[in-house]
Amino acid sequence: MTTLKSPVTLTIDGKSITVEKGTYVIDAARQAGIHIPYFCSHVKLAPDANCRMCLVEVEKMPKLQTSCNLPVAEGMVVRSTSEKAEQAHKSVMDFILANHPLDCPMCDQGGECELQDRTHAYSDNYSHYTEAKRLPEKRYFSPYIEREMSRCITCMRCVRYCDEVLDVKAIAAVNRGDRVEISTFMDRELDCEFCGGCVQICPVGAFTNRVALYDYRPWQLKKTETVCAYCADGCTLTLESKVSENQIVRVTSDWEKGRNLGDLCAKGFFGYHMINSPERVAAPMIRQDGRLVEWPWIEAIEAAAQRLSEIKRRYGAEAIGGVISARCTNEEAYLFQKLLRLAIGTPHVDSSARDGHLNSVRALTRVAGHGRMTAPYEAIEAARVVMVIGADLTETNPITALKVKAAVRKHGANLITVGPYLKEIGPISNLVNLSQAPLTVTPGSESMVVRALVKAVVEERLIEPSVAAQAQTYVARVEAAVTQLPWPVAEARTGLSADAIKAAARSLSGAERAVVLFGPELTRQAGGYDAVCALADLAILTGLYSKPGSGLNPLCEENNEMGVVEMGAAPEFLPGLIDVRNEAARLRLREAWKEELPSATGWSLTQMLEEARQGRLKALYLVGEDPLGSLPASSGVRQALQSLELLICQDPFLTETGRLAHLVLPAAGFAEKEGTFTNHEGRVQRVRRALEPVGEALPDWDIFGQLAAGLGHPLDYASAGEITDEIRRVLSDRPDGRIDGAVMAQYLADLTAEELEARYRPGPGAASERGRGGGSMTLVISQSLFHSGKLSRRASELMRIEPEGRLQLNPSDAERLGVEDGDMVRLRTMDGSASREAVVPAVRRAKIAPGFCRFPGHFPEAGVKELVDWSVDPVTQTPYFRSGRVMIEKAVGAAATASVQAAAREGV
Amino acid sequence: MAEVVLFRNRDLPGYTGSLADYERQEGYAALRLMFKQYPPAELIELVKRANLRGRGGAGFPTGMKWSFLPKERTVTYLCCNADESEPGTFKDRELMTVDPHQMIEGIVIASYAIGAHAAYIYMRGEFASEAVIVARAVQEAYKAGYLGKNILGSGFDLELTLHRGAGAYICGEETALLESIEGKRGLPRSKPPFPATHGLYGKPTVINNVETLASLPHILRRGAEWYASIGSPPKSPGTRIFSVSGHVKRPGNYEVPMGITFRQLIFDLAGGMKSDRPLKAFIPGGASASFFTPDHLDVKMDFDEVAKAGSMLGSGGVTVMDDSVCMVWAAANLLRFFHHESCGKCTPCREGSNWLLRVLRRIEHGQGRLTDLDLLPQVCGNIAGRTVCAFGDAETAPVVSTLRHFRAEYEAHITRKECVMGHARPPVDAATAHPISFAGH
Amino acid sequence: MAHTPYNGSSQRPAGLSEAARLELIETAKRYPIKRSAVLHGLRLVQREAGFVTEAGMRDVASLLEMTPHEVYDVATFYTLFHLRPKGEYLIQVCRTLPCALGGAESLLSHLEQRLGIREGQTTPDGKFTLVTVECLAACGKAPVMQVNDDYHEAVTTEQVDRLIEQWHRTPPVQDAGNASTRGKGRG
Ligand SMILES: Cc1cc2nc3c(=O)[nH]c(=O)nc-3n(C[C@H](O)[C@H](O)[C@H](O)COP(=O)(O)O)c2cc1C
Ligand code: SF4
Ligand code: FES
Repeated sequence: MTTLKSPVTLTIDGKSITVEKGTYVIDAARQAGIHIPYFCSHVKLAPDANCRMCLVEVEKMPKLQTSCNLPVAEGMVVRSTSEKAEQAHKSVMDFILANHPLDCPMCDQGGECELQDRTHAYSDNYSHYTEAKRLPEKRYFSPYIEREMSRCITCMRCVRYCDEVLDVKAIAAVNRGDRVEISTFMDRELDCEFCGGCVQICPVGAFTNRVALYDYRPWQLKKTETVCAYCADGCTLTLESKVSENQIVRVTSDWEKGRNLGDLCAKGFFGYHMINSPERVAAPMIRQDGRLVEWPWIEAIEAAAQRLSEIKRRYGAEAIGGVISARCTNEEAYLFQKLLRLAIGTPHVDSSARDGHLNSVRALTRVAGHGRMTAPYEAIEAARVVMVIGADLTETNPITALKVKAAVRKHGANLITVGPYLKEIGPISNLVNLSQAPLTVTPGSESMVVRALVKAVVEERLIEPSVAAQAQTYVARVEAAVTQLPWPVAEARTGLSADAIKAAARSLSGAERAVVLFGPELTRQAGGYDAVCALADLAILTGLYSKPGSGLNPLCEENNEMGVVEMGAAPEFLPGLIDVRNEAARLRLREAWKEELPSATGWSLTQMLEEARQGRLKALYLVGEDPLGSLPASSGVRQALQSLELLICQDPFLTETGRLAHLVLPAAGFAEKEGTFTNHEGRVQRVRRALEPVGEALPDWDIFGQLAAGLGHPLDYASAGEITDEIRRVLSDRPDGRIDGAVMAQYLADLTAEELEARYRPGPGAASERGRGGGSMTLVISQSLFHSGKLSRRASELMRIEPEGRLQLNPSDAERLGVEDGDMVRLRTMDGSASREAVVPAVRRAKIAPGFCRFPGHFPEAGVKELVDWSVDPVTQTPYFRSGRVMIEKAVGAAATASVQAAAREGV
Repeated sequence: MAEVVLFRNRDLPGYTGSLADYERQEGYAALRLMFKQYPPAELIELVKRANLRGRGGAGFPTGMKWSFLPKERTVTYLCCNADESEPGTFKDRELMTVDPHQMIEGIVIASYAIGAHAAYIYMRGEFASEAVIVARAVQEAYKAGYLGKNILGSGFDLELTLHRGAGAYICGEETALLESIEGKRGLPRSKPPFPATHGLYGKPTVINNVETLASLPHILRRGAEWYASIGSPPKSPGTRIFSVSGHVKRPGNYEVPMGITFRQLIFDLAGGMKSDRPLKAFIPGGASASFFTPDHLDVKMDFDEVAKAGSMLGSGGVTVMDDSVCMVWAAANLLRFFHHESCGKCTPCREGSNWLLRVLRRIEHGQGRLTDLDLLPQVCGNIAGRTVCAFGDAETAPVVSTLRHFRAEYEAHITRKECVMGHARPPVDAATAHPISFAGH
Repeated sequence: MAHTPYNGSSQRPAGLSEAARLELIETAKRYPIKRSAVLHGLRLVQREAGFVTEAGMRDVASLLEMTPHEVYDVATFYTLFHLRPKGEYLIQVCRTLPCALGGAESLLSHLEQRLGIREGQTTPDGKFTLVTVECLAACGKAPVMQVNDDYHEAVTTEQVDRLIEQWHRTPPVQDAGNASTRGKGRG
């Protein structure tokens, strides 16, 4: 038994039990295995004590007490089964059932209804109520969520959840007394984050999943607990499927499990239709006379192996490269790099984590030995100060955002948001609203804010004493470096006052527990690597690495970015984040694998494309990657792909790149395979198979195995589990998320004054850095809450929620342009004499700072991606293509029609 | 009769309740005295010694309530409960309109005692012209330096704001009142924590009724001992305003020393029964109090005596009914009120008020069943004591007490379809009878 | 589905007037949180538009940093707010026990007859709406009715007839009672 901080001993139903002070009686009872009935009480919510079901008798208290909000007291004697208590339970059931309909036979909650269960256990078998039943009028609510108010027991869980947990407040109680209903503003169609929380938390069938309406009886569904494949928050999901139809019917999540503890976002809750999408590739395809035709697996594998062998024979193994998607499992990433490094013998292996996350991993591994969050979700919630920089967290990482919301709303943390964002109360929650002093910065100046924060920490003597004492040289060098950054320059570039920056620095360094989270607007923007290095300085100097409960947290986009890099699907890293140039470590791996591995440092994704264009890379093996769909034309991606002698695309879907491929291999989706994902905290979580793969699709790892065999270099595993075991064995001595003190000491000692100086030199202004497009507005391609990469485009319900990309503008900019929501706008950039443009619908968002606009990156067909600047990080080879300067005008008349939009879609 | 305290200015010829008028009658003298002689701690002791008990309904000792505030606190609030919504009660309305400065002076005294620098008057929304009068008085008080910064040079600051409700009986309940000031639905909070520790905006807060606060200047000026000795000492000292309504010759507000009998109030002061019909029943303390019968006429009007006799002095609203009144009808009328006003938070209150109302209406309309007479007390028993606030108890009082005292009348409705008022009314289709409106607006 | 901000609209249909907005902003300053002024905001909307309009609720929401849903939930809890238009004269007859003892029922039926409408209805000319309400705290002078903001106590049928005559001829004056109190400190 764990030791309690302040134990309190009480007696419940004759059982003596000891719990932590502050525990509510109902929870103490649960710990003792005693079930006190309840409705409104819920683990996710503060007690409200409205249903009155949990009444108990307490000695020395004349009245019955609600146990859900009664804190335990020493020596308290509680009875939940006394005659008086049991009578009370019966009477409350009688009240609740008085007006409850008897439509259980066709209610989707049937079988998992808390009212049904408690009726069985706690009521007389008949109702004393014989008056006419109240029948609220049935009204339309939402395409996604069904509302049946006659079933509502007014426990307010839904309203409380939407407020307390989500901070959305999209639903409210209206009217009073027994006329109360849960509704939206003026009974409009529901507009919200569609997290599904109200459906999940409703104890009865008042809110149900309309997408699955009348499709199932809960007990008939097969339940598979797995991890979401969309974002790196790493939510635990229960996929509920009909075995006979091999179909997911709905998704739920257990309140007590996973990193999300039952909370989901729209992608998790409503995004499951991509699994059974009709667009899935069902069989291998080979290009014949310019067309892709279906082909039997055995021959497809044979063809792939044969062509790869031939290229290797003709040009050498180094003419072959491979890129794997960060949506694949750890096992697949591990096996993929083995396939390339060992079976083929090429060092050129990379993943989609290159697209920004590698900036974090490279910088943080250098500093602390690994690239994971150093403050897990629990620490975020418990932090006193939280800074979020370079991410609109609700949109990019909704569940991580919930942890930040809890830190503020439950525990009173001080939140500092840094970004070109303002307060906005809307259907989608906004962390800025929870920040007492949000730092609204000039778009693109986030990295300058980081540098200015470091300057403030140094100048204001806010350096963590232990660091100041132990790393004097480093501190002195930083001190010297930041002098190059005068305050007026920092102020002008960031749009913040020096005082505001100093105040934030003071909060960070003064806090007992402080956590900094940073995201794509820092890591996916030019200079991303340097920015993360500067952020690491900030973390070191303010003690985020040394104060318990504090930390520096990189945010990932795709679900397994952390995992694929750690598995060695990167040219610079062997499995376990071992630098490929580290001879000793290589030797150890060679022993484990009993094979020689290539010694050269391979090419990154961006380098591979360049080498293909130059004719040095002849074959590219893409697993779940679609560079043509994601990269702008200015990257030269099409030319690169067309120069290849062999392009293999292995994917659950036929992508744009797939259409150019010589060989298409159908891969299983996440619901059809086993393995593990590593979320951005660094938690390795089990992925479980819920369905048989669609058509002839196979798990990626299985295909790798067959291909290896075809190449005459067997990599034999009977199951994904065998790979997991090997990974565990091989990486048993690798970092587990703790900070490697030796690495950090080395880093602090090695860091040269020159490098630091370069880091803090202000350089040309942000405007001119990004200013190639010549416009007055800063455009950023961003992530949307309702989408994830392009995978979510295959999920029918997510496409219904957000069917098209809209350019988000500050209302004042919109007004200046004469643009209303839904109006088409033309975005233009001038590059020398060439002009590029795209025509897209606009939407006003008060949270977007004036002068800033953003477009969701999930809609490449809109052509907006062609307007951004393309560059590649000199250190990490990260491709940057998320921002640019654009001119915006209202697209009038014929120009505003869909056909022009279609023209823009063709790109330039 | 004994002296009038709170209404002493009411009947002065030409008295308008303006600041000048009030000052002429020693208005704000107590305040000056207080700043000169009483540090807050001593003031609390004084009120404790006076044994002033709250006039809002529960009769809780005011000094004791104040001393529940935590020792360590940064911000404290005072709320003046001017919601006056207990049926049969209309005393605060007259107190506020006749002599608004008396209440304001009381508010400043209480705020000083508890260290509040912000106070709110929560006034029911229906009071429109009353709001104008009080607002004007507040402005006068600011101008004269009785409110605002550094009041009378004492260094004490107080911001007073009139906050108007918008039609909800429940907002008279102290925690619902706090929610309402916070801009939310008026849903009572679960206690503990009590407002003394977690009140308005989560800060230590005292809520006192208008009449309670209006008594403070007098206690200060004339001393705790004086106050403790008048009325019905030791437990119910002081004068109290009773609102008399219903079948009496002279309904209205009567300020009397606590401890006179109901007979004195109804027959001597209020002139006895209108139309000289016999008294059948009366409610001694607002709609939440149990009905009394003529047998209770000699009960002393003091907190404990009334409680001992099976009801409560509550808000001081005395509603008198003669023998023409049907008790089933009266109970049904009040249940309609309670059903309309239930906030809907607690299951037993929300569902129970609907249930009781429907059964009572059925009986009233000649569609009762004898089993209803067992059902009604059973439902009441399942509501009372099991809800977040005392509203649950209140809604059962008319039912339980009329059933206790007038069971025969219920039976007559059911078995013989007979009624003193010429009810039972024509039976109606049970399924569609008495639809309870959903609209509300 | 369009995720539009609640407060981004530039062309707003009649919401709060500029004066009312300023008044609401001032009122909110009397409290540590803006939301506390929501009842006052709704009262301002009702005073200007005759009832609580959607645009008005949106304005109150954005000025007080609430979601429109939160404003709506408050508006539907309190009975003095009307979400639908009502007659020029809103006649509210108290029918709680003390008034019922004092003749509220006959007052009500007299009004119904006189106006030719039932409780809850509005006259076709939009002049009168007749409703019943619960205790108005004037029980000493039953029966009581409140017409717009004004109390009419111990009313007789003759008085009612005279008043209706008068109201037929004149539009109501702006209710005085909605003035909010402010200390001199912040004016
Ligand atoms: C349902 C309910 C309604 C109430 N209404 C009022 C009211 O209108 N006015 C009032 O002063 N107290 C009312 N009270 C009592 C208050 O909760 C509180 O006890 C009182 O304001 C305290 O002031 P006092 O200590 O000065 O009496 C009500 C209580 C309940 C349970
Ligand atoms: S109110 Fe309910 S569940 Fe709720 S808990 Fe209690 S009472 Fe309990
Ligand atoms: S009962 Fe009508 S005013 Fe009180």
